[in-house]
Amino acid sequence: MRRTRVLLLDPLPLFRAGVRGHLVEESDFEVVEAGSLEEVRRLEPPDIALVDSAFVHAVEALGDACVVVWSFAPESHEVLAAIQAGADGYLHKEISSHGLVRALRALPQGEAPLSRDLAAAMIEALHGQEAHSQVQARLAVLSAREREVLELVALGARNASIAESLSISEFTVKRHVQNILGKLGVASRSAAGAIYRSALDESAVTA
Amino acid sequence: MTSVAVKPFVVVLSHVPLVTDVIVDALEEIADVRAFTVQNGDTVGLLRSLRPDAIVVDGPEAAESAARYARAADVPLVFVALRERKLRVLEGDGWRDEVGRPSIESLRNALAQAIYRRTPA
Repeated sequence: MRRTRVLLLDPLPLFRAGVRGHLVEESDFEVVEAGSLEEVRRLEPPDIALVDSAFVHAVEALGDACVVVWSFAPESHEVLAAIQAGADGYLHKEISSHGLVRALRALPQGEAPLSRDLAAAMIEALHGQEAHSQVQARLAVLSAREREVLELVALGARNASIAESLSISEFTVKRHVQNILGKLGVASRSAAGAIYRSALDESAVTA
Repeated sequence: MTSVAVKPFVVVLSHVPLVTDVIVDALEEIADVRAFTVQNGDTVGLLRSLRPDAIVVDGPEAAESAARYARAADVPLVFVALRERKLRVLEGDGWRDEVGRPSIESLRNALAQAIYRRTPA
């Protein structure tokens, strides 16, 4: 019987040793290890790669292997990023030995290892991306000057202060603010400011 | 008459099942080791009842609880901080990071140093 070659790509020798110790007890697995991408290149291609989230950028380089990314306390955007990078699944590193073996054996049958909480986290991250796109689309209709005005509105600046900052008249600021409210479809300066801030927050999350 | 050296009693509090065995194996040469799976239990209560000579933990919550006990009982505590990829030894009010990433050897060395530094000659 040909054994399934499992690659452990992880920067932590202790963790690799722990996982290897459990997998080598199973007769259908052959385990190889790497602590870096350079080490991976020296190895025979694996059937399955268990990849620490620090190496998510390397998922594509693992060729035809089924790739499962894992981490301690995964964040929703990390799970989504891994799946978008081409990973076939995502696991908690706190998984039991039995759970890991079961997940690895199910992979060749096309079963993606993704626990319920991680699937929910990924959906939440997808919704966040969608909301971000909607906010960006709304802001895209503003002119460069209107964006400058909105940035100051979001900081709580009054018209007089905005006029002074941008070296324009207060009347012009008022007109820009009315245009901004109209284009964004909101009734107040505070609502427009909130949209701008949410776009900034989302950018920070997805950066 | 020859005296038999008694190995120190080390308690491992683990919440990462995949590394529990390798931690125990790493320490068995130098200690009498017992491992416990910890989730949200009474860590301090468990340690009070076991009265270990040293403690090893692999999770941040257990590390904080165990640190409270370790300071009060003056017992060495080593934290295998897997998320941060650090090996941390409790020293006074804080943690001292060992150089390099946690490995079987570095864990064994850190624990041995923490134990024998305190043992009177």
